[in-house]
Amino acid sequence: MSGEPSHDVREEAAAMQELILSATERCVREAGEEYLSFLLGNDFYGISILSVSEIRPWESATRVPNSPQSLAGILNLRGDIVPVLDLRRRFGLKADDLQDKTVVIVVLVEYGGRSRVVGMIVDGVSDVVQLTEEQIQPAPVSPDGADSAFVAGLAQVGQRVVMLLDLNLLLADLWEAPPPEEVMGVCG
Amino acid sequence: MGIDLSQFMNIFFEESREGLELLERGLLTLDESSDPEVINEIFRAAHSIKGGSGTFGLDDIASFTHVMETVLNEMRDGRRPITKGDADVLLHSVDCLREMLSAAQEGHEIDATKVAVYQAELDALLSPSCRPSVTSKPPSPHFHAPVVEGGWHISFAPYLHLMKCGNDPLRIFWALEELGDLAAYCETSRLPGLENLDPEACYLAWTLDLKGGSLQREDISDLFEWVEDDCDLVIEQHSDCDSASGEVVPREGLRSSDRAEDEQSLPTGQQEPGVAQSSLPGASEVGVAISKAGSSNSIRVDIDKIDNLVNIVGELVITQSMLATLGDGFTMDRLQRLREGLAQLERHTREVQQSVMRIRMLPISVVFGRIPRSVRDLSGKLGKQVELVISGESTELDKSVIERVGDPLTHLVRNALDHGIEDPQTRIAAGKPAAGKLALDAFHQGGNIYIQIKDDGAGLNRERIMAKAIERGLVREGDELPDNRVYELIMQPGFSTAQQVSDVSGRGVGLDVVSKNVYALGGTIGIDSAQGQGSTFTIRLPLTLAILDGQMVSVGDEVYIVPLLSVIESLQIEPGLVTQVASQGAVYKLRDEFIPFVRLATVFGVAKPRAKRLEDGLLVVVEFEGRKIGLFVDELLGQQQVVIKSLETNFRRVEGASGATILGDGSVALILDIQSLLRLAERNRCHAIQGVMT
Repeated sequence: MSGEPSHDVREEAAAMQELILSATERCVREAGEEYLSFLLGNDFYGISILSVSEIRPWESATRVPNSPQSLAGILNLRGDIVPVLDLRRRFGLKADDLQDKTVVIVVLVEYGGRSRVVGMIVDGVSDVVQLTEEQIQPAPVSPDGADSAFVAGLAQVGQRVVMLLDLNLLLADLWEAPPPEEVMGVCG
Repeated sequence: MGIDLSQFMNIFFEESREGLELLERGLLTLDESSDPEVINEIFRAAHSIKGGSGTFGLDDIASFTHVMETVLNEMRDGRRPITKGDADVLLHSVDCLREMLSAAQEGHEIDATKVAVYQAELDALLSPSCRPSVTSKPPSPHFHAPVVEGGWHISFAPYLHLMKCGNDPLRIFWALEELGDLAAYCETSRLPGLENLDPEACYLAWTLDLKGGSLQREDISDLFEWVEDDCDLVIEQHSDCDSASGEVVPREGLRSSDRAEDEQSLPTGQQEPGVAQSSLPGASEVGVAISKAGSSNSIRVDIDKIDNLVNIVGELVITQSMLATLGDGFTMDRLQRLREGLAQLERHTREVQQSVMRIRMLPISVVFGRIPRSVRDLSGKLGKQVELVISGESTELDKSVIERVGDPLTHLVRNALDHGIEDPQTRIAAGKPAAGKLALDAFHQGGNIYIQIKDDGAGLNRERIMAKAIERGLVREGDELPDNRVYELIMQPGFSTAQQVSDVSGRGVGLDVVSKNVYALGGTIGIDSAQGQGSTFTIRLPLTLAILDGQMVSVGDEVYIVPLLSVIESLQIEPGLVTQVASQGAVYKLRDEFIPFVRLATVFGVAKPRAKRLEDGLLVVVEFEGRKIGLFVDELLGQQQVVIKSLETNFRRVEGASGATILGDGSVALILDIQSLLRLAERNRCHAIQGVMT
């Protein structure tokens, strides 16, 4: 149930797939880890496949009052309340309205010593790629120093550059409660 | 023996932990009364731990506990007076034992020097002489009786049933032989004639001589550990023996009647080793380690709760099969019965849910149990006298909440002792009894659980707090604040008016962590105080019962749930009754009183509320702790029982909401938290002012 990437992207994705397959045949099977790549705007990002729980179509989420724009809301995932982050907004991209063909990647992240389930809205899901350590280059420090600490590395996959994300860092501020007001409220 | 052992070991660790708690509880009261049953209980607890640890090969723990058991045994037999000092030493040993057990369970090494210090303390208790004076000899990992050349004399008289317990004296002798030169003399006087002989009974007794260089008593007694309770055993060094020569005359068979006399020689060591009386690691240090380690993943449940659940499930099964029968070849004339059946199903399902949630509830005594010990240690350390009164221990709360409320509670207690209760002289000078009173209480009220920590100490100094707050820019000069708002300022980070920072508290780091922890649990802390008279800290926590009766309301496209418990009434608004009060936002005149008027749409930032004019919407009057507020909503939807789902599991606490629920259509709705709403409304006050007058 992935979104529909545009035509040329799909061709390129197919070409990438072939390249990857032949590369994989050459590499030692055990070497490297698998990453799920997905599309945000015009860029490809990747996250470790181990953190991906499932991929779902978008369903409406309940809005959380007084929350940042990047938080699309909370939804019911088989009885659990799961927050959904709009990654497009998080990365400052122009975001289409949420429709039925929008894709949500449900991931598992670590925070506060335990596992949490979070949904991320992306523009489309692409392939699972296998990357060895050598293929991953360190991320350049962005000139404005802005929050790119969560980019764990870059990898060249065929023609594309895939930016690998550290989910724990990316999503960490999801759980920071807004600072309680200076004088803690009415209590009597 | 490796495969199945681990699950038994877990049981052993659990039981040992419980045993240690029992030990501790018993020891705490030991100096006040000497009810023999208490001492017996304590002794048995130590004995079980010793036995269990021996079984699992945890020899360090076993031998450590053995010494404790010996001391307790002496107390039990009346051969040792029970003093607070001794009880303190034993309490320290309990701490040490806890650490050793945790280390063993988690598979890491324990600091041997620390253990040695505790061991020395215990050993000192057993020496016939008075406490050793300070020498500068550094502690070495093994504190044993000094090595004496020569040998050991062992009298071993098994009871008849010894072999039936699976023990074979021969194996013990083989093991002894490995330690040195063994000479054994058998005493056969108890052997009956062949016709009366029970081949599985042990009628024999032995005296043994073991010659070996540098043998310690423990090396020998360890070998007899399994049979300790099933025999009469005396281990003596040759220098103690009456016979001067190395040759030992075989003794007469020992009878039980000799037991009392022999017991005495067992525990006493010889010359006391020179023990450097180094300072013991503070109980608080060890205590920190304890509280982190012990939270287990199992729970003890009252059997009544399980029986209740079994009954309800039984009825559920009946209802289900009844519905199945109805559904078979269903015709419309059966509709009414179907409806009834479904209603019954719903009732039973709810009951099952409630019953199961109740299983997760534990009495708060689990947490309160740790308090007497820390109060005792801390008051001693601070030189204050404290009388601790605990009530409401049977109040129940969810296991997960209990685990997380312990730390804040402990800190508040330490705070009360450190800063609240004054030292005896100050108290007497102020006309108070020398011993301060610390009261801990827990109770349910209005769907919440309240935990109160009340002291009759110095109370909070309003002026000093205000001054500090102004200095830190939290409050403006001239701001009017009600008393409890002022007191709550002390929970801000870095805020401390303590004159001195002690290592217990005062650094201003504690209270804000406490309030954050409580906040994360979905609760609040309230502070009340009277200067010179004392302070009361009240922790309010939601009861995590999964089910709530809720009133659904709609605001724009969104649905919220108002807890029915807090709803007083709902009414249509008369616009004329809404007025603007300068510093407080809008108020509504409800009959004779003015209540705050809050637009949910504004507070929650709902984009398009449907009711723009006051007449188009409804006012839901809710109350919290006696205070009323009116919530302006678009419409009232139905009332229903909702299942509370945690927001904190994957997300975080949302201000204004106490949780969320899943509606019939699968969407999520927030459950309102009235108190938090009040706070939120205060913050958005200025917006509300703009919004009301339309």
